Amino acid sequence: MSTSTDNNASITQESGPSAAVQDIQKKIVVRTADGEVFNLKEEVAMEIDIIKTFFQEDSISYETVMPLPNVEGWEMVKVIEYCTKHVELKHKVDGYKERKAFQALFVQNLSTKSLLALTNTANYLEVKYLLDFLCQAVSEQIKNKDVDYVRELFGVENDFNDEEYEQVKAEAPWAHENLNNDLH
Amino acid sequence: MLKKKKHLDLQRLPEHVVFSILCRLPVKSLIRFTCVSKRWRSVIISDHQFGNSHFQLAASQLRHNVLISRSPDYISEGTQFQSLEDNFSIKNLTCPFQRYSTIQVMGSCNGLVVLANFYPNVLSYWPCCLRDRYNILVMRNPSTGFFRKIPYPNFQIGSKKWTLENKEIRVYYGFGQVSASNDYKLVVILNYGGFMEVRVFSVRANCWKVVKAPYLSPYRPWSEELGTYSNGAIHWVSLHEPGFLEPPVYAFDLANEEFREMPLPVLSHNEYGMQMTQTRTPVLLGGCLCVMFQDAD
Repeated sequence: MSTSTDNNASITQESGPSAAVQDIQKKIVVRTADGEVFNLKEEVAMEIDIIKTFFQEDSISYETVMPLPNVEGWEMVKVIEYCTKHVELKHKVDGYKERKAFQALFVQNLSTKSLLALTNTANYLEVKYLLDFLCQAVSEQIKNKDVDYVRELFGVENDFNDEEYEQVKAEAPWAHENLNNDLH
Repeated sequence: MLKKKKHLDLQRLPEHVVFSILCRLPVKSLIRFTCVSKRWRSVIISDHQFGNSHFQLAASQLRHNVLISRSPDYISEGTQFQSLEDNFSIKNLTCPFQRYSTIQVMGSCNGLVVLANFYPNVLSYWPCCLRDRYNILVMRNPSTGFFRKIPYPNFQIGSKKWTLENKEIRVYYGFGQVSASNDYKLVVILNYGGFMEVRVFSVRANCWKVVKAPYLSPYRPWSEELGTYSNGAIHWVSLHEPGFLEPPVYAFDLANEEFREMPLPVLSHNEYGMQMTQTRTPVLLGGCLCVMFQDAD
């Protein structure tokens, strides 16, 4: 069974293809890696370049369910949330404050790791403005973190040996001071 | 492009996304993160595209800092260079020069500043590039950046040391961007009695090149040592000699490394029928090259 709200795409728990085809507004259906199915309003779906290309390039019928094997359900929810807001604000003349408030709320309960995962998804789905926003958000969160934290976050291996590391660190020791690492 | 995502925390972002995040960081963070890995270090310090993106992004946030150079002569205890911050506080910048040296600013473009170190009484300069985009410092606690040393150019006259007292020798220089090749170039010209030697340093190639000197006709020393960068070329204006033909503006095109000439605009006369202008200074105003004319008295 599908339930739909006014603003957001509906989320179904079925494992099979959704049957939610509305007459008034065209919907596009995608399925994420964990089997969740989403019905997107056409105008929101078209904000996501990978979806746009999929349907438009080969004129694929909207009845096809597009698989998104690299996207988790929760990520899709967030992406849809952002794109929907973006579309809404497109038609507004002075949406600056509203956008800022929305953006602050958007990242509020996301851990840095989740933000990073979402950034990866935004890149994969090809939503440029979301990617830019998320890159900025991640950079804000990591700017006062130390080297170890960042290595762990990005999964980067330390290929400096102890001596080399001390050498490069000594180039600018002040850059390693006054950090805040308590918000891991 | 379509990578199968692992459901573990080991998911790796594509490199360009990682660097897209990094290029939004303030300089202090960036410097710290050069210690993360050799790859990160290499990109942050040397990758031109990265540097450019970092600059563009910060510049688009319309924050500017001003570099203050105090007493262009000796630096003793304090620092010669300071930065005027957003909140009007002053921050001292450190330079990798020894004490008691004269530091000359040889040019600046897009936040890069080229400094030369003149040892007292000896014209042996050692330009180095302040790779701190201080004028795009966006963060609340600005910091100094990296320095990159530029090797000393070889002039024919140059291997023996000669003193600054020698008035016959003049040094002209300029620094600017070559957008087509994503490069920056420093040009240094030694002028002794009309004979000129020209050297050009490409930041990208990291080497000096000999360039054919311009034929100055008529020969007149140039008014300013520091050339004005405008539209891909460095410009110098000659000193004026009343009663004589007005020499052209000399421009060194950084892309094709050639000199060209531009005529000066026609100058007006004052009520005594004399040409008003004695000194002229090329400046950049609103993206256009302008020449300021100033009466001697």
